[in-house]
Amino acid sequence: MARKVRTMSTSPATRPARATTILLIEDTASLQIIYRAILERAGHTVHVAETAADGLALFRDVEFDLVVLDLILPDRDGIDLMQEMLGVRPDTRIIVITANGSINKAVEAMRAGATEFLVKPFDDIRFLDAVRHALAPGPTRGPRLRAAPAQDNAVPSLPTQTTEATSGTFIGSSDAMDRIQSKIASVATSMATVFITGESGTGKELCALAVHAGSNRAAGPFIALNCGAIPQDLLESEVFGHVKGSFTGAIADKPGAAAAADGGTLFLDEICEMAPALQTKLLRFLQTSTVQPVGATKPRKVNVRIVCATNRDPLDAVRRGLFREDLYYRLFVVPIHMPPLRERSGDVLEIAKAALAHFAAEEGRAFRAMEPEVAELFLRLPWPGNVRQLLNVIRNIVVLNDGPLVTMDMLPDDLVPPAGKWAGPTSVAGPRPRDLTLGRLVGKTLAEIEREVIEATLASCGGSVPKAARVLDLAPSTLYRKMEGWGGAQKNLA
Amino acid sequence: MKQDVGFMRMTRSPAPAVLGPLLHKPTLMRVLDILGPGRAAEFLGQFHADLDSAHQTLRATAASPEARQRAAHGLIGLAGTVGASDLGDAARRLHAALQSGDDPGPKDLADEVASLTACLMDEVDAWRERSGR
Repeated sequence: MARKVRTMSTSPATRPARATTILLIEDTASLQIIYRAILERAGHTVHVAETAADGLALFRDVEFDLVVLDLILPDRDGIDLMQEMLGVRPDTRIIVITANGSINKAVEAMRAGATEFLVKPFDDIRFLDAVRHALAPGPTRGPRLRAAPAQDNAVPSLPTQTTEATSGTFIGSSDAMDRIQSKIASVATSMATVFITGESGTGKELCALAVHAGSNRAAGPFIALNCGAIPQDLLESEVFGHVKGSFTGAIADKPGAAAAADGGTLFLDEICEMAPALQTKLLRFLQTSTVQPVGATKPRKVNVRIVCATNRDPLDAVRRGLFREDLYYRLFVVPIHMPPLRERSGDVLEIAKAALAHFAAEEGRAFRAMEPEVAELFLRLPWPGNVRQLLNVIRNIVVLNDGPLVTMDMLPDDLVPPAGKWAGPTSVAGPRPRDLTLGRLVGKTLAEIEREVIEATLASCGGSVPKAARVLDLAPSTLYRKMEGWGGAQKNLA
Repeated sequence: MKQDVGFMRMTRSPAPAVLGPLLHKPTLMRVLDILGPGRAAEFLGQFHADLDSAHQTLRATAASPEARQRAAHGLIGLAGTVGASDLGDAARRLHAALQSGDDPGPKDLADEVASLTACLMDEVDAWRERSGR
């Protein structure tokens, strides 16, 4: 069989200080095109293979600086291939990429010798960050724990550093951030559980990493688990692990996040999304410091520090019966509230400038500063997406334009809403789709009420059935069936 | 069902009647910007073909659970590429269910993922027509 291999040259304009040669093994052709383009734009020389056999043959022929390896290949398991490669050239740096972002898979890959572990989907920034990290001087093997921005990464992953302006630390000299930094410094060295609250994009995971990094367990693992992103029926196994044969599909022992974090920190993001049954088990774990994997007969003692986070009001979740009160008081020992960007006065400009310098260097652009009008606008904007939104805006500007000055016409069209729409800070609660007071519903049948609630939820989700299904905790297929039963009702929402 | 010139013709799943847009256009534009005009067309054609391949696997009654799992795995990455988070989430649930041996539970879920994939193909087609790419 002919080898499916392609090699592309690099663009001199974007060539890095030291050109590197990268082997990309990815069987999905369109993803291959994107990954290759990202790497080449960054100045790397890229060889591509679609199968494990082709990849291994290339690997034997050429000495690569880095291998980017998809774990699921049509002809062979990726970890198996990685081990053979490391047998041929033990110092090879390998970034493993996969859509299966379970802690177990990440731990397995890192133990097998991967330098980095990236969960699909990832954007170019995260990809190049991982490449830079993998190519940095230092040991080639073992877990270089990095962090996946909680943002869109809907699966748990080995933590990676999410930074305000990619510098690894908080940026900003506002009083609010001074207080946060002091609090982190004070609490880091204790074993106390830290409960981080704040809107999306305010840096809760970065805060958790800072607590871990400042603790005496910084050399230990930092394991992040997004409780809201894992199917509830898999969550117990993800947190506490399972033993081989404990249920259909449990083909091997699996340690679970709590055991993987032994000696380090377990970061439970979106803690308020955890199912009640698992909350009970988490409470027991916190009380006893022991984990009992699904199907195991004996518990095992672990030494784990818990840091958790939510973008909800946890006490409100308790009041509404969504979160156990005893668990709340067990976890809510040292609260840290990450302030929204709009409450951090001048920090927005500090972060914007740092991000501009960073992204301009990365993209080879000449940006040096912002026009005063842009700076004034940045100070006035409410930034509902917080630091994450600001970084995306700067990135957008840098990619689509060139400097030296950021001008008003470079700003994304959707950054400035129509006049009067953002006079003050935005509410995080969102609009109520419809007036659904109890009094108005009295006298209607249960079926009518159900339909009204479903229609209101669909409307609030922009007509998206999957989104509405998630809100209503139903399978989308159930929702489709109900809507089919209503006949022409769907037209009103289309 | 609309068919697009230039792409493989296919028999698609019926699309759900009510659905918001799956394609996140800013994300797609960002990808196309990275690719540049030369590779953008190549990518769009290949992206469509990859979606179609996964769709057909999920629809094929004879497809093995392993083949479906590979299709779901591929769709997670593909959906994320264009910001189609609804499809990505559904594919992730299907992948997890198949991985844990949850059988025959995923049938509904496989149908849902196939339908969402068909919708995304339609949206990509429509977007290409409008944008002239």
